[in-house]
Amino acid sequence: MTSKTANWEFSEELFEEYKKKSQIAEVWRRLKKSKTAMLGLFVLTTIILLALFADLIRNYQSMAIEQNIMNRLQSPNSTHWFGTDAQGRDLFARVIHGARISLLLGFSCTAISVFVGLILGSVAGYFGGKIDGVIMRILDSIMSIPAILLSLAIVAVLGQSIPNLIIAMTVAYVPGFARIVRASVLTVIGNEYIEAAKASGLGTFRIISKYVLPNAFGPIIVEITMSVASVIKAVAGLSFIGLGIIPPTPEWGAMLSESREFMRYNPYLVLYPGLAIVLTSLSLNLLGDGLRDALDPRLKD
Amino acid sequence: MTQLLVETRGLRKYFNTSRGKLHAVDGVDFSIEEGKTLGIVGESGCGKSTLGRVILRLTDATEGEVLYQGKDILTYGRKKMLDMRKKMQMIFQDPYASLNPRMTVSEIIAEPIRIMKTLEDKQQINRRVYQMMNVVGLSGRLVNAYPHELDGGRRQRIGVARALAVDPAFIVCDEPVSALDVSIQAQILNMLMDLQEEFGLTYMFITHDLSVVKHISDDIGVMYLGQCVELSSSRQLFERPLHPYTQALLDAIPMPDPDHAMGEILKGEVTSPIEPSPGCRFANRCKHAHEACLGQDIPVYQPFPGHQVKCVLYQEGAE
Ligand SMILES: Nc1ncnc2c1ncn2[C@@H]1O[C@H](COP(=O)(O)OP(=O)(O)OP(=O)(O)O)[C@@H](O)[C@H]1O
Ligand SMILES: [Mg+2]
Repeated sequence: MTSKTANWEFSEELFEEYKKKSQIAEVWRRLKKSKTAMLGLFVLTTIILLALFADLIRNYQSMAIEQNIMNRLQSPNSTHWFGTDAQGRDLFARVIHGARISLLLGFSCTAISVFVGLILGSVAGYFGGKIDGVIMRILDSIMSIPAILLSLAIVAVLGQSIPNLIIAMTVAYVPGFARIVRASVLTVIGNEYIEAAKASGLGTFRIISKYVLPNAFGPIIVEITMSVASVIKAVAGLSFIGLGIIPPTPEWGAMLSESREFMRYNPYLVLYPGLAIVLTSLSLNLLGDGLRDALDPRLKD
Repeated sequence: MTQLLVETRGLRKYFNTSRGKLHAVDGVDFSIEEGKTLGIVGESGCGKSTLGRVILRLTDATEGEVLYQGKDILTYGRKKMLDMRKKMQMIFQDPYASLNPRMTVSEIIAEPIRIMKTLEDKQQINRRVYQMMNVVGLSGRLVNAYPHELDGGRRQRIGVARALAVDPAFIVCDEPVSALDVSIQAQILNMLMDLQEEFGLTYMFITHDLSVVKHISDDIGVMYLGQCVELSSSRQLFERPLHPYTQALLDAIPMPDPDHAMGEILKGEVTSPIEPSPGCRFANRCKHAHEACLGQDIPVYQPFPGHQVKCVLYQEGAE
């Protein structure tokens, strides 16, 4: 009889060792191993710090807002690192101050869309049937409207302000997230471990949060990292038609569209805001990839 | 005096599909005595897993009753059912899919204990987990391992430990060895039989393999397209199979004796389980089929005591 012959000593230490290792520290330890993820984290942190301390580095009012026609369209030099724009404003000041609004928009829209998308997508995928049908048909009809038109309409109705911009972007982005969440939930719920959780008496909400979503998260993380940059670009589109950020407020996307007339002879005008968008999205992407791997115990070492 | 632990009455489960109602389980009645094993055999897709899942309420029955010690658990509310789950557990078919890849061995085994709160103290839970690993022959070193680090046999042991952790009386074993190497199958089967003896467990043992079920079962139910076509003690079923489908299954077991002629291999398409017409569902593959088999549902006959069969050949006064 197995249980009568075998006789291992019970030791609390085995469990203790596990507790110390797991949790966030373990994920961090594995994330650190990925050089690309660390690079992404470094770049992203730098951008965030620049945004946070922008006031200490360059004065908002005098450098980023006030026009100074005397200094217009200077190429990058020692006083104006990134040059000046057509109104003579320091481009470096505008890029770091613009980071605040761009990051705020990018992250908050993404966060809210992910949150709503997770709920709708997992409910639709998990329960299926009529609930799925209703949710997905509504989302489909939202998706059938081009995102830019939809946001435009919402901003036009609600009025032009940053909170309204966030609402408009979120409405446009939720369906995409919900679809991806639903698709990955569907691949997970066929697994017997979901049944096992039910047999253990776990409630639906906990099954979704503890069993379904963690196993469905890979594609979702990738989508999240793409979406921040995509929101910033969408805001640029809205600013272009005059429904995004109200000038002279600096914002990366708006800066791109403001510079379009001068782009030909002063390419640095689009280079720096563009680079800021690219770096943000690239660093998020690298970080997201690393995070996905670090969160998956199957890829351990 | 043995008593009935689990009983089903007129149990049905229909799935709604785009082409109509799929009769996965279609009126199954059986009972299992305490400490005994009921084997459920039948080919792939005949509704064995669905039957197990309906009994454990992992999916809602369309109709019928599941009695546990005489009480219909299908009427239980959430709280009462949670209590019930301590008594009824399941071992799953695919050890690669039945363990959450993001949980360690100890977390997996502790999960039912935590949810059902059979133990509250952390150290007690750890002890219980350790004891369970011991019982199923898993080394204590593996507490922090993840499922993907282990082979199929060990994974299935984790599944067994998880089912046993809350000290259940009844376990549905859904093809617990069919995904394993033949050499490991025997180990796991023997372990399951030992555990049954040690803890006085009652099993419903699902399999498509008659030779497996012969060893382990006291009674056997043969399923065909959602219905139980024959039910009897294991010995009777092997000595005197009544239903033509059972006979065909037995004939298909490979024999070591070369002189033993293999019976006829089953021919014909399996009828679709979607809205089947009344009558015997095996009729189109059966060499004894005639008009009486079609048109109306076949009742259960009992030509011998304790031996039930759903086939018109055994109608009183037939032939
Ligand atoms: N969730 C579901 N929705 C629709 N049909 C289902 C569902 N689950 C099972 N079925 C159908 O019910 C029937 C019985 O399936 P079940 O899994 O119970 O068979 P099984 O006897 O366990 O087969 P196997 O030996 O392959 O495990 C099959 O026709 C299957 O396609
Ligand atoms: Mg099955």
